[in-house]
Amino acid sequence: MKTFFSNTISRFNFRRLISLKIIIPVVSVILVVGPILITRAVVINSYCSKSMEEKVVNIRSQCNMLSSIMSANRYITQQNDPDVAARIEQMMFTYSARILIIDRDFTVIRDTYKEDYGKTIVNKNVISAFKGKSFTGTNKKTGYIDIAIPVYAMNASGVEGVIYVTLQDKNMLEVREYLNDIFANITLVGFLISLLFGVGSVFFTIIPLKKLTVSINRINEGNKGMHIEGRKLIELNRVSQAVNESLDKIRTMDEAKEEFVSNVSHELKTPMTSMKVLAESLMAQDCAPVEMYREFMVDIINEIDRENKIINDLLELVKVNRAESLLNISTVNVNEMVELVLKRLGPIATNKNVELIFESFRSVVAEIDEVKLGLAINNLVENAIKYNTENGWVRVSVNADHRYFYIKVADSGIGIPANCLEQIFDRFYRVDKARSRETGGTGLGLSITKSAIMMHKGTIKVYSKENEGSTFSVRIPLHYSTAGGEA
Amino acid sequence: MKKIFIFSLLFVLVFSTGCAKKDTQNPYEFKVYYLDNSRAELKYDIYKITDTKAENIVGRLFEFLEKTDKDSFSVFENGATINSWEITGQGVINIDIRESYYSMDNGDALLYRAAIVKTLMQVEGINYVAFTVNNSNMLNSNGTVVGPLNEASFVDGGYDEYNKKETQSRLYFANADGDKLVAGNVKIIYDGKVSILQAVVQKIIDGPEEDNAFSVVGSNTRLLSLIEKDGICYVNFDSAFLNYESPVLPEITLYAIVNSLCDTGRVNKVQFMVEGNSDIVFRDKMSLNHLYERNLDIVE
Repeated sequence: MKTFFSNTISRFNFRRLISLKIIIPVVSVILVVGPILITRAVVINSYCSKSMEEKVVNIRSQCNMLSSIMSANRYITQQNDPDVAARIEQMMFTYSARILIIDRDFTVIRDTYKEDYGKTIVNKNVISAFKGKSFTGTNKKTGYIDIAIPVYAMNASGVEGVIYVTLQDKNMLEVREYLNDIFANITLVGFLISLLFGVGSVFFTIIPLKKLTVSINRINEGNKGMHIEGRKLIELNRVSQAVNESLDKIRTMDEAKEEFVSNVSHELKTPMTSMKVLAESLMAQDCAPVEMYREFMVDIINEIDRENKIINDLLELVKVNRAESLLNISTVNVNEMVELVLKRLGPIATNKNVELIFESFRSVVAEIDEVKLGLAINNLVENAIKYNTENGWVRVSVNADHRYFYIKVADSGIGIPANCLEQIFDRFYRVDKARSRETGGTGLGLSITKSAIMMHKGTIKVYSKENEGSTFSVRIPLHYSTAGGEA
Repeated sequence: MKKIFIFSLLFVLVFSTGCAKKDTQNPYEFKVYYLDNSRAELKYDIYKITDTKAENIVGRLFEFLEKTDKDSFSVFENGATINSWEITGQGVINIDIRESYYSMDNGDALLYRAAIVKTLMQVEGINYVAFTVNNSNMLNSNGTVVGPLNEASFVDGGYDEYNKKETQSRLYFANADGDKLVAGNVKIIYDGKVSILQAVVQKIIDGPEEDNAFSVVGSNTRLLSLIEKDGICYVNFDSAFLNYESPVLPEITLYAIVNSLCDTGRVNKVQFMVEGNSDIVFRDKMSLNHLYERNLDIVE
């Protein structure tokens, strides 16, 4: 009981008020009861106006007729016309109205209620009727109707009398009450049904939502291996699927991290192991010649260099992977940048007798981080040279349209097997471990390249055929924007 | 606590003085009647006259009546000024006015007479106002003489909810055992839409206010219509009239209504109807098919 109250009280905490439990029932009630109330107001109002209007029109036309007859028969001055008397009584019976006939001195010469006979009427509507302006007054709330019609003298000497009819449209009042009752019932029924519907909808949505929350919470508490089961509701099913995907992604990332760490330790260990082997074998020999020491030292130095390179590449990779805000964007002439890269790699190419061709289709100026992209292109060209045949060629082309610039690095090298194409950008991945070791590779080059390109919101694609060569196509937006990347 | 006590004491005092003012009109305050902006209606402004002699008061009132300012227009605007006036011993004030009265518009003439009469009738000692035009009797447009006037000669305002009338009438209800009628004078307030006869029947439906009298019909009974012609009153109730399970005898119910109506002086006989039908035996005893007349035998 105590917890219930404290829960209710905390529920009335301002922020908590915006709950589906309240919104859905309130909205459904408003959506149903609102139109009902509007309809009721419109219908009752229109009915009242129409009903009174009709009565007024009927009475007025009868009065006007009566006025003409009175005029013709000089009723006001002579007052002995049975026809007029009969008509007055007829109107009295039909409308349950009070009819007064008033003469020029504002004296009541006929009153169907008999009470004000002989008295003088002081009423501004009667006064204005005597000036020729007939008067109609209605009150929708009380149902009162008042009508004053002038009676003109036969000899055109103006208005000689006024017919004054006053009544209460009781019929309209009764029907209005009846309609009000009906609408009150409809409103009540509508309210109950919509409330029921609202509360039902809440249960239908809130309870599954609660269950979903519980499932997710269970996973939050550390059960990382779990998956959320599918739900009956499509929307909730989508939610649970999305959550599962997130969980999978997290798991993959965790695995990738673990793999990365293990790869790194392995890669770092390998040169160390080699060095240890070399050193130990040296020590095992009692009297090794100096040349042997020299040879083994060279090998050890090579291994240290290798280890250095790996560490440097790792640092580079980590740097490249950090937040995009560390991009140093400037306006760079892409052609010049590529030329510089090729120039730097020239010696290695010459060593292998590989021809370096630069095709510049147009001059391209773009907003890029010169250092990072330069490194990316450097890796691509270096690979093209390293995995090439003797006397092969490497063609680098630079092109652009109005949105992107394109760099293609094509080689006539050994190519990449089709089943490995997807993985070449992964860290430490090498198609042929032996070969890359020979060439001094760390397996990190392409992943550094891809990261740099992704940071510029660009794309990189590879086409390759074994023993024929590979082509890497890079596309990068000319203008760097912080908006979401393009596919 | 003290604050609340003082505050409520003050509140009561203020309230009671206000009430006192309403009930007894200050004898030195007079309503003087003028035309309003539309010139088709009368309004009044209140003035204080601290004199006790009727002549002096009347003199001052005429002075006020002749004033005109931005919201209140004197009825003397159209010219029929007073030649002379005097108060007679019988409490009648004779006022002689100029002949230009007859050239006034009939509406203006009406407001002129009404304003003067209503203003002067407030003076103690004056019971009637008699007009003469150039020392001859004031005539109506049909040639008849306009007699002495007082407030009762005029019907004020319109027949709407703002103009209520009050009257006394003798009403009959049931006694404690429900076998005889008890009578009493009751004050009835009604507006011009409802005739005195309807007001009487409605009062009987609403029930008595005294302790020794009891209702003869259910208070949810509805009077559908009531028409009087040639002394016969046709009363039409809704079906709730029949359904009332009262300990009162059916004769008592019917004659309470009949006697009350007849005592107004306008009705001799009553025809009852229920939903327009008179072919009914009221509570299995009284046939409604004939006219009912006053019956004083069953009155206590």
